[in-house]
Amino acid sequence: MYQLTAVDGYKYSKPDTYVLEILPVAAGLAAIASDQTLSLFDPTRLNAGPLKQIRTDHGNLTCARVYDPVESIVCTAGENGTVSIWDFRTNPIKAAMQIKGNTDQVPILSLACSNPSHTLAAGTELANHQASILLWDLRSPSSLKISYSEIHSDDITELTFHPTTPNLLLSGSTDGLLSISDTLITDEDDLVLTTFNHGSVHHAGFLNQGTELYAASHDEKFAVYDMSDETIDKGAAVLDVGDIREAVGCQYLANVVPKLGGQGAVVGVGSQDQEMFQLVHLAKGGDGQWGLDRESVVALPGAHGQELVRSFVFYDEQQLVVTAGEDGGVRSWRPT
Amino acid sequence: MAIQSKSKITVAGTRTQVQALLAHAHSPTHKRNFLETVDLQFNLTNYDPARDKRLSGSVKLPSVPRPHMTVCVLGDQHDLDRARRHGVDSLSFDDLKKLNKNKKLVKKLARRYDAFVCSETRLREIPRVLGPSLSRAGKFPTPVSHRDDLAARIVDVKSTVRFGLRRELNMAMAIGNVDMTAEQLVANIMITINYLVSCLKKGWSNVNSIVIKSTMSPPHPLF
Repeated sequence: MYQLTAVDGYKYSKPDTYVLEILPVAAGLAAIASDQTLSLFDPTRLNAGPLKQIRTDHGNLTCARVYDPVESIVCTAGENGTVSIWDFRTNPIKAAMQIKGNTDQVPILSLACSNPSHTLAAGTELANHQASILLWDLRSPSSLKISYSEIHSDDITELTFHPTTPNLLLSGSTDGLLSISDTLITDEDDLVLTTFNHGSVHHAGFLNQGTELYAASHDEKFAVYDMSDETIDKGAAVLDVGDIREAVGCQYLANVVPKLGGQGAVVGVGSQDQEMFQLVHLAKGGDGQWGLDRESVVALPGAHGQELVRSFVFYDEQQLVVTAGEDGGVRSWRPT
Repeated sequence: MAIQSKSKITVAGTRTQVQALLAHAHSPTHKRNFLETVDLQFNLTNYDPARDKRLSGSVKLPSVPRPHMTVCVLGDQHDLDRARRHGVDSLSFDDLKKLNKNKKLVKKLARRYDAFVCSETRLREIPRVLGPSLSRAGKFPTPVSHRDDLAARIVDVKSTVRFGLRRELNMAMAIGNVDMTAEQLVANIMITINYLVSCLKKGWSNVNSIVIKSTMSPPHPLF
């Protein structure tokens, strides 16, 4: 068990604000909050407040993703069905382009970006008995490239492009399914390559250079699945943690951050009654089996008080962890 | 251990309301020609669906709430044999391939059964063999392995109820029927309520009211 100490922080001035997500870009740390703002922080000087901030115009801001970490380009979307692309290098933050095509203005709940293929994907809420994945080629953002509406039967809550094969898109939904689709295919009859039945999907993403994936459900069930073609006979999870609250001793899972260049990921779990947040390593043991490493858990005592942590980022070289929570706070942590 | 707030409803209190509900359902003046389901209805408070973590998932109940729920096994030879021995409908992958991904036929199959269970080693072929219609109907199968007891797995599927809050603060779940005993209903109710409360950030402070109700009865308050 290792411990970190809170060294710096910032609280949004509007009371009862949730900081929903923080994302690292070259220009700093991007943050979206329930006051509809998009901000840029210096992660080493959080108490100075946002370096830049703008109000988004999505009705209710639901999601953000990094399109280009080096050029500091971030996209956001929300409940009025709009999607925006922001360039953090300009002052003030400017919209880099106008995205059009969601003509029914269906609320958007999830986003995914693939810089190498200039693609943006948005997942919608269930509306008129249909939940869609909308795709844009950002070289012609004024119209939709394609939309898929047969993959899921309920709200699409998670989208991620494959790390090395950018035409493959992972989608997760409250219908419980995790699907991998080939976006080069237009015929919806042939689009989905593989599907796992996990449970209402909260977070999901790729591991191990995209040969495996993790999934966390809204009711805290966690598992790892093998999605490579060679193992098409593995229809069930290769690691089925079940209810992660019982497995690691916590009240909720906040998010999962894959390790760059490595196989595994860091799982952020919290216990609001104990004002605790912990980082648990998801890694393959010597026997090649996935597991949650309970020996080397990193604790962040105090966390965000009795409010939930929503997002975290770690900067390995600087030995810095930044967390964002429903107390309206962004906090940074270092080893004690 | 996950911290759990002390339950704010008692088994005894719940049993009283369940017995009242059952008495009403079985009273001779209220004859029905269908089996009434028993619903648990929640009204939440201090919760904002626009930004709070989604309340959505599934819970396995001790007693099967819908006894007439139909399940079909999509299987390899081993699981087809097991399904036949247990009197459960089943289809082989050859049968599925004969549907030729015809949307109408796959949708028809989806409508015939409430749920599907599929041999674990063949589950990932389902989208390629059937196309999207099973997923689209919300009926993508759950896996069963050769090590699993097939009959027990099917009971699991029949005992699992999904719940999900949409934009409002009300949610209803079918957790039983009026032919169950009071004890069976009480057990299903207590497990469901405690599970749901454990998924709420503020536990019982997020609950405004809970009632049980059969299809044709007035609501009986539990909280």
